[in-house]
Amino acid sequence: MAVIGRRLDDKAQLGLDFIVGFSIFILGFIFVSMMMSGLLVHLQSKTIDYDAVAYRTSVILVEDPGEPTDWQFLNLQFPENRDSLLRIGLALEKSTPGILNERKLERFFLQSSSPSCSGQDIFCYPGDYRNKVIFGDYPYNFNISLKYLSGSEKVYSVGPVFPEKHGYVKRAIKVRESSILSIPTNTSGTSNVTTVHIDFPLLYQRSVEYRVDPLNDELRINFTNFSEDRTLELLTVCYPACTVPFPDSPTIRFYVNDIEDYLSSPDKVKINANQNLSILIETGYFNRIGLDDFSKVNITSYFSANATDLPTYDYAYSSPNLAIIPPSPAVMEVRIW
Amino acid sequence: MVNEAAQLYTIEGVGAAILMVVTAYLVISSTTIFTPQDTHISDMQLQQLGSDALAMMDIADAYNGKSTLQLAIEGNNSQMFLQSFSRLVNSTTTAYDDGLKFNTMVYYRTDSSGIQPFKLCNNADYFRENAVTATRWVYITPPFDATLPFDNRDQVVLVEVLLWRN
Amino acid sequence: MMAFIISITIFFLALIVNESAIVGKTTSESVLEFPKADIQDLRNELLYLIEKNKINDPDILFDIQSISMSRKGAIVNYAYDGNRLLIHYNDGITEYNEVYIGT
Repeated sequence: MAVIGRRLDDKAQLGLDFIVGFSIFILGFIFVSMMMSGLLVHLQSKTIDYDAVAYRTSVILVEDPGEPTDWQFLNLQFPENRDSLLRIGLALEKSTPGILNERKLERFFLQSSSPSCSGQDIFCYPGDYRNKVIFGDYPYNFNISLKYLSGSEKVYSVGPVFPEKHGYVKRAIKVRESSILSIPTNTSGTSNVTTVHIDFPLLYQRSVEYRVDPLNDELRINFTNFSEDRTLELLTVCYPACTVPFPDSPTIRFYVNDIEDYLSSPDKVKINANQNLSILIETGYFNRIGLDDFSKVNITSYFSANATDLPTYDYAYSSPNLAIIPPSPAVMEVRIW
Repeated sequence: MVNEAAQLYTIEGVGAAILMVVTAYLVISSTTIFTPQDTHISDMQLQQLGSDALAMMDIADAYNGKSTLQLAIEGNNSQMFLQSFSRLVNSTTTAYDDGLKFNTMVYYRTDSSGIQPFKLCNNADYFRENAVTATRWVYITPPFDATLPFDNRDQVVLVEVLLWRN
Repeated sequence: MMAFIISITIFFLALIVNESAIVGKTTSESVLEFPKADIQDLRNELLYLIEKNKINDPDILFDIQSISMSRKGAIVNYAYDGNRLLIHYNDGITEYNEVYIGT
């Protein structure tokens, strides 16, 4: 007896046989697809990329001066400045990979995650970092930390605590330090007006790692160990037009035994016996008053009575009073996940 | 093909499931899935670190001065090299010992016998660990330490550091 | 029949996955292969030699060339004529040429 295909009836039922067969098939299919999906996981570009992204980020930070190369002077309160900063790099210059600029380093770690960060002169976490350092379509999480290996052993860090599995790279670097001119005081000396002369072209003749760089670094003038009380009454900066320090940064600040004092206070800057006066010219002050690498500046301090032996001191390499701190070693770790 | 014996679809289903499972098994067992990135990542990290550390040691502290690397080679001072390199390579932002070990050789040229190696310092003995080398050119000038076999002239030597993780 | 089709599909997928793992160059291998540290180091050293006025010393040229060939398998050549420094570096995979003006 010939058996014809399916019997069409109007009962709308599937045979048990069919259902059992179909469900075995479906179960087998589900099982297999679970096995196969594991094959493709390793090809996901974001998870296998963490180490590569960490390496690239470290190269941008350590070996590149950034774009524009003097971005540390940009005021990020203005949106066009923030937009003109395309890449954040910490190196001094293109020719000095691995030697970092201290001011760029300090600015790099100043950030805030609040929504008002774009109106302030700091970076926005994490948006600015993702767009200007890490790059890529996928929003990576990151933790970048830096530690000085000598001296203060200060640690800087940006980013949250990292999980166990992350892309990691460690770089060894040096940071160019600032310089100090120490002027010995002699209260029975001959001058109460002391001028520090800074000849920029002479300073710029040295290679960049060892340079005293008035436009890119801070300068310090220390008057050490006054044996009697004195008052600093006035400070003028002449190039040759003369000006006085601004009230806001970047400007010239005065520290008596490391405590800040102001020329605007009623008794000016008062230095008692056995105290030191430190005059700090902040990074960016000379740029602010419009100087460049061909300028010559005279910084004149007017004391209440005789303070030093000589009326003029040079902030120059030939001066025996100039102490240049050697570049400090540091280590930087970049983690991406 | 269907009758009341209720066998065909089931057999078809079972046959289909078996076919898929066997194929998947064969495929997975034959394809070696190694995450392509993992194999050389640690090498790259180590080599970059070693290069960095040598470059930093080659920066003199003062203008026209001699760098740590120059002084260590000219004076055959393995302690100076060891401490300086170890500090740069083993420090992390949270700890001081990352567990990296190294051997250092200096390759120099002599007029009489060509390129020769000279052992500068050993942090640990090397057996069979996965290691990378980092190199640096160093310019040295006489007078050299008496134990050094260099020719008595200004020359350029190659410092080769073999670096591995314990 | 569905199972047959699916099996064929799985087979092709496996073929693709297998080949992609082998054919592509891994990022870390590319990084290891490119002699970034070597070139930066060589440049740095040559500029330092110019400062020390030793760039035209033939002994030093021979030092660098022979050590470079024997330890790194790379050909190095350089010349300085008072104004410009020419650098040539070839390690068989990467070739680097530079004319440096302005020392």
